[in-house]
Amino acid sequence: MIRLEHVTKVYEQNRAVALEDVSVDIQKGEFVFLVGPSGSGKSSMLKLLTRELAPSQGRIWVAGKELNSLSSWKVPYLRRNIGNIFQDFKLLPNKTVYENVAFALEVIGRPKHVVSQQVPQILELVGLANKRNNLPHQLSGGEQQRVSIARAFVNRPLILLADEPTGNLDPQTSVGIMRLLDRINKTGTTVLMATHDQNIVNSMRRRVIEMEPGGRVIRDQARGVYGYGA
Amino acid sequence: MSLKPAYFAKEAAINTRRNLLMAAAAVLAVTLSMFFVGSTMMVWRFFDNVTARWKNDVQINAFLADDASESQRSAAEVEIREWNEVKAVTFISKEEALDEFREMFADQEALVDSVTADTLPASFRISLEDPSMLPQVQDRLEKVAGIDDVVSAQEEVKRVQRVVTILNAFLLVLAVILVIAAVVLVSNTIRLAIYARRREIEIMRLVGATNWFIRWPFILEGLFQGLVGAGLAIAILLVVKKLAVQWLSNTASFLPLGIPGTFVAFAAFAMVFLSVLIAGGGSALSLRRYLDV
Ligand SMILES: Nc1ncnc2c1ncn2[C@@H]1O[C@H](COP(=O)(O)OP(=O)(O)O)[C@@H](O)[C@H]1O
Ligand SMILES: [Mg+2]
Repeated sequence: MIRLEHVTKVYEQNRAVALEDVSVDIQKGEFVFLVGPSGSGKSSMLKLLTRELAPSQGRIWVAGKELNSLSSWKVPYLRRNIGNIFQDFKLLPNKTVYENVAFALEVIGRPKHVVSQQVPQILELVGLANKRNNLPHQLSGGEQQRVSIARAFVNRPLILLADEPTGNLDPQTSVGIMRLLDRINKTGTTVLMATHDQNIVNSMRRRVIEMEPGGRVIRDQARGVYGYGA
Repeated sequence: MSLKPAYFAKEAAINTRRNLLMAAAAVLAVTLSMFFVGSTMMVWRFFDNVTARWKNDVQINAFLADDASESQRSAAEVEIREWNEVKAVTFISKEEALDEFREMFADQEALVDSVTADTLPASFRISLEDPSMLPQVQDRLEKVAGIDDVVSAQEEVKRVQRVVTILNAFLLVLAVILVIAAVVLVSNTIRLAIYARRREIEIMRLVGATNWFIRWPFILEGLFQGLVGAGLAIAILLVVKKLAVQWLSNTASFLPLGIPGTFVAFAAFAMVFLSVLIAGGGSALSLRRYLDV
């Protein structure tokens, strides 16, 4: 489902090395944690997968497509197979919960009847059916992250990329979010989650890919923990 | 790709409302520039009318010397009539010249009173088969005995044409400057609209909206500004044209004021077309710079 072959990413502006000769292979349906200190290249790797960034060297496959040779007009269609969630939720502040989720379907041209059928379903799944008319600022952090998960998942993507989704949430709320991501993973969706959160990684015991500053992968372990020392 | 015209139109309207002041400035710039383009075309067409008539209607005035005898006069008249290039010859006596003068300056009594039949020379008024033969005929006339001075409107026509050319070049330069200003202003409002919607655009990219889906509302917004500008310019131009014709027909009724409707329609079409180019150019400029994927 996701495959990186000797991928190196160097930012041209400041010569910062974000990924250094990274090779990773993730199968369909896997749940993978991407761990490592700040600046070790986790976000950069996720951005390479949606082709927001292009690699300096190496090749990348996502959802059966080879990204290096993918023409740019096809990139939107690639992205329809990938859901994205972030630490800061990226919700539209002047749209309601319902509108935020519906927006993701509308702008890829889904017909009205599909939108009005799918959005309530997904809001039910994330447990926000009763808050569909609230604006983001009327929600708690955890609820906002649920909206963003609903938006990422409403189009039933093959892959879900999460960049520190619990970074702004308290431990209690984080557990709820992880349960939701776990449920989504159980539907067959491949989940790749960058995180700093030791407790979560240690309690879930999934595959862990660890990176170090300079962008090298130093560990790739099935049913791993956050760090050896932890 | 499924097109959603209603969605795009709504988004474009929201953008415009958000930046009403900038949008108004852009529309104004389009209006101004298109008004100048339109009036340049009208002025050009108008003078083309005038000079065309003058060109085809050239008369030569050959003034007789005051001391020319009656026999010299009739000999000259007979000779001129025989030339192939000459269509018609009319003799204007001193008395007839005075009558014409009085009529032409009827409002200016002091002037009329100061002139008697003696002051004005008699003349032949000569029209030609082919206006382009004028210089040759003029040369020949000057050599005819009894003729003192030969005058035609040719120099006048040339002078007017020179003035019109300069005036038109000036208007054109002004129009080009205004068109550039309009492109910049439209581009600026689109840039602001893009900035105001940067969050939406980020999400659209993230979830896989196509580039054209993202661009359309902004292009429509630009087009809308262009078309409103062109419409206003056409309306203003028609009003100004009407007033100008009214004014000229009172003060200069001898001028051919009619500009054909087909030409007006052509000018209007050109203005709409140009404003669409302006709007498209302005939008494209901002989309390229601020909406790259
Ligand atoms: N847009 C960017 N331009 C230049 N350098 C960047 C950019 N984004 C990240 N970097 C650099 O790339 C390296 C990896 O950053 P990042 O992928 O954000 O790591 P992480 O998500 O693990 O904190 C860092 O050294 C960072 O400074
Ligand atoms: Mg990061």
